[in-house]
Amino acid sequence: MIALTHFVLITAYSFRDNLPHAITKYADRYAVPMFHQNWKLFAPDLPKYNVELEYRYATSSPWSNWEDASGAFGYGKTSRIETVEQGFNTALGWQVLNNFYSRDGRKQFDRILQSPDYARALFFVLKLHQLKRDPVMPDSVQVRLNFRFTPPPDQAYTFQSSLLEFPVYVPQK
Amino acid sequence: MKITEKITHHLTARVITPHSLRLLSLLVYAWFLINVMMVWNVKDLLWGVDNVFYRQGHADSFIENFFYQLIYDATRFKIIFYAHIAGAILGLTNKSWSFIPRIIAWSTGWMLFYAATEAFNSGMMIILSLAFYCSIVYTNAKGVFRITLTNLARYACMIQICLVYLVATVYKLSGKQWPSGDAMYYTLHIDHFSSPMWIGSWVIQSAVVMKTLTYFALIYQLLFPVMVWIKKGRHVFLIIGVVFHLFIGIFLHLWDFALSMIFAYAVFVEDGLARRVLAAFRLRGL
Repeated sequence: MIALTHFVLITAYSFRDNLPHAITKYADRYAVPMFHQNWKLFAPDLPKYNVELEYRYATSSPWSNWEDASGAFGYGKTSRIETVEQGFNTALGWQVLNNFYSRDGRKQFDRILQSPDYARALFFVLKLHQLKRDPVMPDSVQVRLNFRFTPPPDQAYTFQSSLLEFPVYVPQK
Repeated sequence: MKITEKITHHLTARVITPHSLRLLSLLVYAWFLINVMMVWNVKDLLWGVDNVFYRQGHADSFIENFFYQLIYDATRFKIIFYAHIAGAILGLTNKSWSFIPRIIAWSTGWMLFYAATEAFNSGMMIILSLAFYCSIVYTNAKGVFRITLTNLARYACMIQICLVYLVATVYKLSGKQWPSGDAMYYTLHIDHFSSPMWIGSWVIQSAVVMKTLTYFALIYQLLFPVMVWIKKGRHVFLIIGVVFHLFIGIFLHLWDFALSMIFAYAVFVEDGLARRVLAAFRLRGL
């Protein structure tokens, strides 16, 4: 009976897009915390760019130099903290693609700034800064995404870069 | 004998491949311990009170509150983290009670996963899935109930691994880069999966090399769900898979994912070979 209930709920979860909410709400509650799987590593397509999260800060002094959000604290490109950073970058990249727009020739960040993805990236750099560099919260902090676009394989092998700076954030003390 | 009787006899008479199942369950719980070692230096950043994750709310139910508890309350980190280690160590045993520490290792594994999802990839999910099935594996079982559970777990693991390859291949074929042979080229241009020596090198600029690697990976994943059920040549196919996943570990730095797939192959290994491997490492009596 237990096994049958399990398989019914897992089947309902697997075909959740085609079932009414009245059924999937139970399937979701059972399947998501314990049996959810995602095998989309490197699929269906990879980003056609490399992206890094960078930050700078100011504490009663001019702005620091821009630094990589993980590299600045000694975490290399293959470290687990870089993996975390890349997770934030992917989500923030999605925000840029879908919620970044211009009005009257000016960049509009309002939708991105209200997203949890921006909050996560900002929290990440602020927390690492506090733990690894200075326990005192900086007066201001700013993050940016540094894109390096991969040239298509059938075109000239030259790289183009683009920097997207987000508005300055002033932490509450 | 009717087909239903044959199936019943097949599942209940004896544990089908006890040594390969034993090897699999050892490797699954060893993977948890390897993973713990890989994150040891950053464990406080991932789960400690001062972790680097901005928290959000989730659906509120008994099951969710249990598995998401580390998201809400980081003060439980050490209890959950060390319970996970203890569960994995005791999960290496092959006793009638081993299902208890194995369920602890599995459930605390999910808790650690949800509280730091960005730190993990499919490797953790695959191992958690296998750990769920392996929790009921008892290769010394004598009673019909435990024998049946163990045999069902064996088939569940085999089907699960085949599904991983099948679903991953379907997703890959639904995109543009894999069918066109360019996926490896784009992968090696992402610094996190690459090395400075690759970018700009002739290897990465060679369309022949990049397309060969891409199509090799795609064809291997496509063939896997079929080839592993064919006895003849299965070991050769698995050895090719081990090399393929070692490539992912060495060159793409995804050691957790690579090891999870290599370890999962144990369930497909011939029982005699698994017995010799266990004997060689003096693990049969563990």
